[in-house]
Amino acid sequence: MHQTMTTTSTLEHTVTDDAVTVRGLFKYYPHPDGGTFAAVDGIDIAAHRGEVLGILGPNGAGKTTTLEIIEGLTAADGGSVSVLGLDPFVEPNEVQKRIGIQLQSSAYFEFLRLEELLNLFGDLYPKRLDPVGLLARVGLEDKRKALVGELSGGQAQRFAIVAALVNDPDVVFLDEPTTGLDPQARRNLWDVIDGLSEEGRTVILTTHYMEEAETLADRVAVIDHGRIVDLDTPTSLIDRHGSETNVRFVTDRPTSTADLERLPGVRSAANGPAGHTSHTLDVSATDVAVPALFNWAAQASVSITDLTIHRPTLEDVFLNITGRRLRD
Amino acid sequence: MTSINAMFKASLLSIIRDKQLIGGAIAFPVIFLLAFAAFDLSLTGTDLGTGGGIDYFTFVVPGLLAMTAMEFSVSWTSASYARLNETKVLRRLDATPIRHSSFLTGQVASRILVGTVQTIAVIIVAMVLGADFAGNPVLLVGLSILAAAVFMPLGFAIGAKASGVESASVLSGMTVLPVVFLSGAFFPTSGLPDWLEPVVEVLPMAPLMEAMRTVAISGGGITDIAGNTGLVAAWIPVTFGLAVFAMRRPRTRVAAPAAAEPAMS
Repeated sequence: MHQTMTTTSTLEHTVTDDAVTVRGLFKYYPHPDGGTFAAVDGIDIAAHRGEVLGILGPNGAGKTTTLEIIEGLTAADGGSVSVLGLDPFVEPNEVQKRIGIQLQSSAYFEFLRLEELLNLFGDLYPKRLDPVGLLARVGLEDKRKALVGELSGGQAQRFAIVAALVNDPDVVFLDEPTTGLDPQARRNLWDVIDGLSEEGRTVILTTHYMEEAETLADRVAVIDHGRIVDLDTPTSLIDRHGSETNVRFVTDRPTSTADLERLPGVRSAANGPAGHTSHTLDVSATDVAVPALFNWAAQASVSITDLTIHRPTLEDVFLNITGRRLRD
Repeated sequence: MTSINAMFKASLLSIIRDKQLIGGAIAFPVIFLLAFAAFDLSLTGTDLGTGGGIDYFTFVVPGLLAMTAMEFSVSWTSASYARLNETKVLRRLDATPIRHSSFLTGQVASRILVGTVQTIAVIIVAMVLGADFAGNPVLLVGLSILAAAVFMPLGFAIGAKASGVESASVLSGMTVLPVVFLSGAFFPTSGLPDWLEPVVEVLPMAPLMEAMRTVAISGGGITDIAGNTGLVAAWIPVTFGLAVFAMRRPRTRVAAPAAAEPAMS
């Protein structure tokens, strides 16, 4: 909550540097049991120009609804949105000329080839990029004569992303761009998305993959129940919400935890499942604790094997913040 | 203009590459025509109250053309639009700055081109089978194009309001078939009760039919059909506007429910 307030006040001072600003956004949908519920429940967020802003949240948290309101596809029931200084509710077409949208599920005219589709989409905008160059960006130049129905899942997803770039947009919205893809296809798309940001475009991206948010996003907003629970850089989120870093290793002979706890940078030590030869250290400073550990081992003639360092991931943060209860 | 042109090309390619669709579109009225031709066609104009020595076949062909123009236009476009909606192609187009009017114009223009080929095919087959048009068949093609321009937007309007492809098909049949029969495609409108006739006369189908018969049976030229043509053309902005209105997504704001106010802040 504290973090959300900080963000709001930052937003007020730097409004002109932001590609997208959202204030007090609300959206209500009919509840299956009667009445309505808030799918978006008072969201304040801003995307700085040129940054990759990740939006994380469980299914049904309000990610897609928020994006669709910003994109001018859905009308908000309350609050205000500004995209490049324009209101998507008032002039959706003007906003859409300058943004690129990859929807969670996109479909295209089934009898048109990739190049024809990009030409069609390009013709709908005042400014457009060359279809062949776009396809080459995601390794689909050989598929320019193919129909979307003939593409694999990964290829179709790559196509959906370049179709969102056809108007050379200033802001690109990617709604779960890598869901359902294999690791190769996912990494290929990460390179593409990284490239967008290097070109100075603002990217707003939703994802279920923590690794993706950690790799791509400059800042990450965690959304749950239609509200922003926290918003920060991935590293700060991990520092604030993650558990401690662990160093695990095995020694060739039994070692007392008291010896290990005396090492600098170590908060506590515990024996692992294998008894007095396997150890887990909670460390406050990995770069101090690990060299100290090896110095100690050399002096004590202990040999250390299987050393691993476990740093908490964004996934730990996500589960700490949003809880482990199953959604949907 | 670029976006209308782009939509025209996209739609035309989609139609032409669907072999079943383009084949069926052209064969549909021809097969219907062949079914009529299978009957004994020795009825005369006197039997039908149309006067003159024309046979029933020649009487029916303009009706068939008009019916095709309406039935085919509406059922085809309503199903197409409902399918584009169901498959989320429209959702993707919604994310672009294309206007509904540009989408509609491009779509209708491409389909009119197909409808023109269809009409020419029907007229040629009818003439081979012995239809004897008194006037210029080119005028019949022109009237069919005009009719398609009126009815195709109606199909888009129905498709936009339909819950899916199936209901689009049912709703368009429900709209079109009664109008076709009431407008005298198969039977002269003089058989209608007095109160119903003026209603039918206002709808675009009856003036279309009259114009077609004026050309096909009475040998009328452009000046003879100007009045009815004007009546039909007057419907274009009506159905076009209806379609654009139906395609627009609701943009109303829902009021906050009293109970949804967050307890904490």
